[in-house]
Amino acid sequence: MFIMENNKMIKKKQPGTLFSRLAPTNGMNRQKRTEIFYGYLFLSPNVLAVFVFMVIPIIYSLYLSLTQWDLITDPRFIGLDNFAHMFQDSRFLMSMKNTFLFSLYTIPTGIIISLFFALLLNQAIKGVNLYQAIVFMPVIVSMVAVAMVWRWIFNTEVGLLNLALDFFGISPVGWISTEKWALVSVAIVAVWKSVGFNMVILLAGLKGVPGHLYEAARIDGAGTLSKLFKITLPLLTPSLFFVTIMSILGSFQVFDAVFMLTSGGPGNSTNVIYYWIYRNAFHFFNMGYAAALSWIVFGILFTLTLLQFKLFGKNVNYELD
Amino acid sequence: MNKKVKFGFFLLLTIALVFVAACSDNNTGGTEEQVEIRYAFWGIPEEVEVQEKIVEAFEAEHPHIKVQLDHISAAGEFGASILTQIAGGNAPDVFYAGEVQIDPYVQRDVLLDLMPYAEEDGIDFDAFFQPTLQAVGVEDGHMWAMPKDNTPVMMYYNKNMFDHAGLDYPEPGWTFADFENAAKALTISGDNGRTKQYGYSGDLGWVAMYPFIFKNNGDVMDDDGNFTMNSPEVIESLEFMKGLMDKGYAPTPEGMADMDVGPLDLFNSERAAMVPGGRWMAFFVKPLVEEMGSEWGVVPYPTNAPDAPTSLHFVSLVAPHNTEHPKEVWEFLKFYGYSKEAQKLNGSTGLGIPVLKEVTEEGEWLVEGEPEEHIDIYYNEFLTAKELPVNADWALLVDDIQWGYLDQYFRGSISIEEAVQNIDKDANAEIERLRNR
Repeated sequence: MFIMENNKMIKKKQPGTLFSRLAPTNGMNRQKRTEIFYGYLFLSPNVLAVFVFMVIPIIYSLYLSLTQWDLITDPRFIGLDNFAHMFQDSRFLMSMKNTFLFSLYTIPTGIIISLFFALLLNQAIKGVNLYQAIVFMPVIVSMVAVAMVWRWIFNTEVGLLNLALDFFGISPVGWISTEKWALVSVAIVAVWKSVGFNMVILLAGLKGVPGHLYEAARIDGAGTLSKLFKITLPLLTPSLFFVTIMSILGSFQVFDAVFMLTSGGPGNSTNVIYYWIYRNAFHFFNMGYAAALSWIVFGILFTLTLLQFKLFGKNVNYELD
Repeated sequence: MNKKVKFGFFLLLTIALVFVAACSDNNTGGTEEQVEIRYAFWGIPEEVEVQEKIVEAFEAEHPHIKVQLDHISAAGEFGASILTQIAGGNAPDVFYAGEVQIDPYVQRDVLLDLMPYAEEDGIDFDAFFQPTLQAVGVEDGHMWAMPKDNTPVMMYYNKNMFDHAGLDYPEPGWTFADFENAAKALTISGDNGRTKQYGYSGDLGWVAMYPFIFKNNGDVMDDDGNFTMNSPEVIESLEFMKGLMDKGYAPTPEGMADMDVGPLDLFNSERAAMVPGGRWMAFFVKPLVEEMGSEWGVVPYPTNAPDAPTSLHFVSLVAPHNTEHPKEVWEFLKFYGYSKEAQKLNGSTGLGIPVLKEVTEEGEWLVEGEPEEHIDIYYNEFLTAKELPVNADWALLVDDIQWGYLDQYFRGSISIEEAVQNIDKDANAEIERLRNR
């Protein structure tokens, strides 16, 4: 098993088989064994659901990626043809470009904004819980419902944003109607929707920073910025690391915002990879190709996450020495 | 048993019962003869009402057949939903299929061939509009679908606006030049330099675009299914459409996106004088009549060649070939498409025209206040209407490739030559690739 030693994870060998390691029962009385049995019993529906709805479909989709399947006839094995076709598919390459651009727009902005809110709302002032709830609300609201409101906000002629711009004398912007701005607009909605979630994670991380460190710093005469950069951020790195990885994963998987706001347009400017996968699966009778595309996305995300661990993992401070 | 084990046992039992209830079969069917079929369709609430009435009338005549209505609301995502159900082995017994959806299903052996049943019952195929019947495969000896309603694509116009501009109402046989002149005369600028009223507003997708091509004697594909966009007639039509926008008689794509409305909304708020569409417009332009107090008229598309066709659209009912109740399904389909009662009920909303010539001639399907001249105007267009060049991979070839380039052309990013040449090249390459897979 893995344990922490000297700030690094190392592997330690344990005696026994896998099963006895999962449920070590030697030397335990009957009651303990019964408890363990019930533990697994109550876990089993969840495990079953994860298996049926996640593990098995994932394995099946790997098989599908090697087939040609139109959802009606049986899947036909074609080997790696889907993967070969991918690189000649101009719309695939374009959707990857759009997705990367989208990630570029959303990840830094999202993290900075949620960090801002986390720092701001980490005070024991009156009503802070209400403010936190307000910032968190977009996370739980249904995208399908808010998309209608956002379409109105983004409307070029009567939308709120352009009305505000008009107030400052700036000419109206075609937020979701022009190719230049459509992806930015979808990014705005995506960031708005996820800031609350990241804020909650960072807030929890902030609470883990011992207060006496700030006291000591204050005594030593440190200013706010110093405290932020020398104490808060270094000790916040585990949460920041988590939030970054989740943001990367999330930004690659954006679909509902695109589907509701722009349907991939105008002119393919918001055709992100998941939207392209959806079109192939359900509109072009091409489920095998869609499955192959999904696995490529998995490969990319896996690589990115691995890179993150390798490059930044050692800078993450898990424990206070 | 101790408390914990009892509790655990009952918990498991409850979960198991819930599972059984969720997975149980809905078909409780009492006697051997009682049959239940599931009928999936799309539509707005008025459509749902009509379906309920038709099912009621059908069940009155066939007491041993029960039709379970399954309303899947959005027409746009209906195909994907049905596909998922078919893939899951849970296809409905009867479902809607638009004209472009039949071929994809036929190519993949999804549908039940109704021809044996039709022949057994002695269906008179001449009672239907021929183009519609041909589109369901009758020429090749198959009947893959029962048409339920059909429509030629026409031009709808605001009579009051024509009166204000001092123009005569358009007549069948009017030319592209006549159309452009009318659009010009009907375009009015507002005080702030923006257009207050457009002469024409139409979607740039294939529904409104193909008639412009067909009426110029052009063709989107040849008989083998290869794209032929790169031809003088097609280029002329597309340039004509773009010209209307460039000259300001019709809003540009950016303009439409800015307003975030469709041509129908412009028409109903009296900001556009002419809009294209199928018969369903008769239903959807009600706000123009009820709220604006104006009158609308219908006329065929402008044409550059005598007897040039417009596109024919229709919705049909199809059944999967592995339905458990083919005889009962046939009875329902026959009732819907072949009985005057059902056809009259179906046409009453103004969403579609009956598929039986006789019912169409009687004209009961006209909406309230609609002049009788419309019967002939629609009828004559039916006789020459052209089947859409359907293709098993319509979504990929038309919605994705063709639309991708034309969208860029209409936005002014690429030239017409680039657009049509690339469409032909890419689409035909895909057709080749799909043929060989």
